[in-house]
Amino acid sequence: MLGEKELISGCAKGERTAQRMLYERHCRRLMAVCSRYAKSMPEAEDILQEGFMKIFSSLKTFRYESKLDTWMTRIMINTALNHQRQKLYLLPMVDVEDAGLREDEKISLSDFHLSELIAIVQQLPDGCRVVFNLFAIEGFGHKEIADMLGISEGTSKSQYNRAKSLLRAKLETVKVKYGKV
Amino acid sequence: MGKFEKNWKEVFEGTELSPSDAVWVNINRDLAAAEGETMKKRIVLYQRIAAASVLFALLIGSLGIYQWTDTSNQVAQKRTLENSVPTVNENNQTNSALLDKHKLTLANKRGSESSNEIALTKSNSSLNSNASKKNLKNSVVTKGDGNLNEKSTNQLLIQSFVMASETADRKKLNSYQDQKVLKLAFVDLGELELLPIPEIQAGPKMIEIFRALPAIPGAFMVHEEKKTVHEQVWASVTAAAGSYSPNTTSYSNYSASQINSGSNSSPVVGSSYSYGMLAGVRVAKRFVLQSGIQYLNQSINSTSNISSPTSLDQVAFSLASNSPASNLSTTSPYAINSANEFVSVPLQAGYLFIDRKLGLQLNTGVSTEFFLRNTLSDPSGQRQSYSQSAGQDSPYRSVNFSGLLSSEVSYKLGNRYRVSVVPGFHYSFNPVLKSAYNSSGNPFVWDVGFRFRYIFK
Repeated sequence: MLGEKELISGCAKGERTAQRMLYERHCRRLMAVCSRYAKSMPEAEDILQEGFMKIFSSLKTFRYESKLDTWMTRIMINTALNHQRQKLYLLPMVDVEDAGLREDEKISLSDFHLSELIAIVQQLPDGCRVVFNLFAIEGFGHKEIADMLGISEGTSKSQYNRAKSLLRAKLETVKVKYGKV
Repeated sequence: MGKFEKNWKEVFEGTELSPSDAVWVNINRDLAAAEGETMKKRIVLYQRIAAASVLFALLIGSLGIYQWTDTSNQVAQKRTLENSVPTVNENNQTNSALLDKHKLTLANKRGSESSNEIALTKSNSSLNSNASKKNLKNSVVTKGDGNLNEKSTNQLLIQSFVMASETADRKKLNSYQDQKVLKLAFVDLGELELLPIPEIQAGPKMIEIFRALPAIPGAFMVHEEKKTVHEQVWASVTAAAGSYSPNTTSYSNYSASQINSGSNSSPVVGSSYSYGMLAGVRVAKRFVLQSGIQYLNQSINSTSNISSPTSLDQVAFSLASNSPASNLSTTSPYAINSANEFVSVPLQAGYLFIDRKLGLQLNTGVSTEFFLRNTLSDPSGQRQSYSQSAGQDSPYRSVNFSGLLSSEVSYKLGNRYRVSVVPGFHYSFNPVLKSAYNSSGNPFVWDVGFRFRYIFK
């Protein structure tokens, strides 16, 4: 079993065995990341494939300044954002009104299977989905998201509110449909 | 961060989803393609260097031939000029006879006609002065003929003769005559007297011809004779790398492609490298012979769709049995590498266009290549490699023959070493596979080699 450094070194040299091992170690975790940003599983796999190609070509420049996991996740998120960027241009994000969400959520996410939750996120409009992932899951602030996506901070906030509203509605629909009350 | 975000973050933290197997297959394919792209760029670079070097060699070769042709013309002109000298000498002999006769007369009138003698010697003196100048010109023009010493001696003797004549020292005059010096001196005198004016001017004209030669770098022109004395026998280590093409018209001609269904567009250019030792000997002023032993490796990447889960023996079997890929069970395409290894014995003749510190040589010849083995390997490491050597049951020919053409640009380091860059072309006269395997492609290689030569003598 190769250590992380040996694995990185092997990948940087283009050794296919090392590349395969690195892929096997991280593909499932990164697939989960990609699936949140994509609209479908095939699209998530496309992002995963593209992201790994970037990882393999950039490993020579990895300086151990951050953890490999974090570095790979960041590359995968950037790949996902690039993948979505064209769609974001086609469907420019505009400010939406605050949905006035209640903070006292009565729906417990633990009632849902992971695949159901991923499917619900994937059904969000592209802009809302990206902002939701960046803000709620990755923990970026609206200012950072605005800079990353080239939108205004207000747009980021309103898109996020809309995402929350839509998610709540979806969760309620699923809950009623499958009797998860 | 509110409760909403916290809940969602907890849900997704540490989650894992399995991607389909197709993702790695595609990544593997893209990685192989990226490697192929890098190799392709290198190959294009090698090809350009090789083509540029061959063009350079041809250009310098043309210049060399032009120079050689022009020098031949000059030699012909010089010979024509020299052929005219015996005529002059014949005339000189006549003059000499006349002079002897005149001297006899002088001897008879010795003591009585001293004033006439002085007049004669004065006349000779002026003529000899001109003869010295003429000889000086001749010595410049005929420098390469090795007559310099003789001419210089003549000049000195003529000067001495003139001095003797001027002082009317009869003893010295007779002494010169005894030593046949007088004859030599009068040969030149006669030459001066009888040469027509245009021939006297032939010397300066030749100098003008030299000036009219095309501008060839001075490094190529000086000290030719000294340099060619060395480098009679040498040995060199050599290594080369470049592009390899099976040169097939269809995929069915090449092992790694034969196993493919043909639906996947595989790269048809691979890589080649070689290393070995060569020995050389100069057989003529500008011709050399080289031979030695080399290891050759020619590999190409491709894809296969033949189901071969653990080892590539099934793939090799399909090749050996000459089965079409369609008869075998197939799977999703995977990358495969096929490498042919040979031991090669080249024999090359070389022509030296430039044989100085900087050298330029054109080599051509044939090589006999003994097949060692073919190795099929999976770059992903999922399947075991499979090797096949030559033999009666093998689909590969045991012996192959190839034509070689290369240019060699070299630079001499000290007295004993020379380094060279050798861009070249290698064309196989027969396919790697036996004729029973429906093969028709003749592989070729463009490569750039480096040689380090040790000169024995």
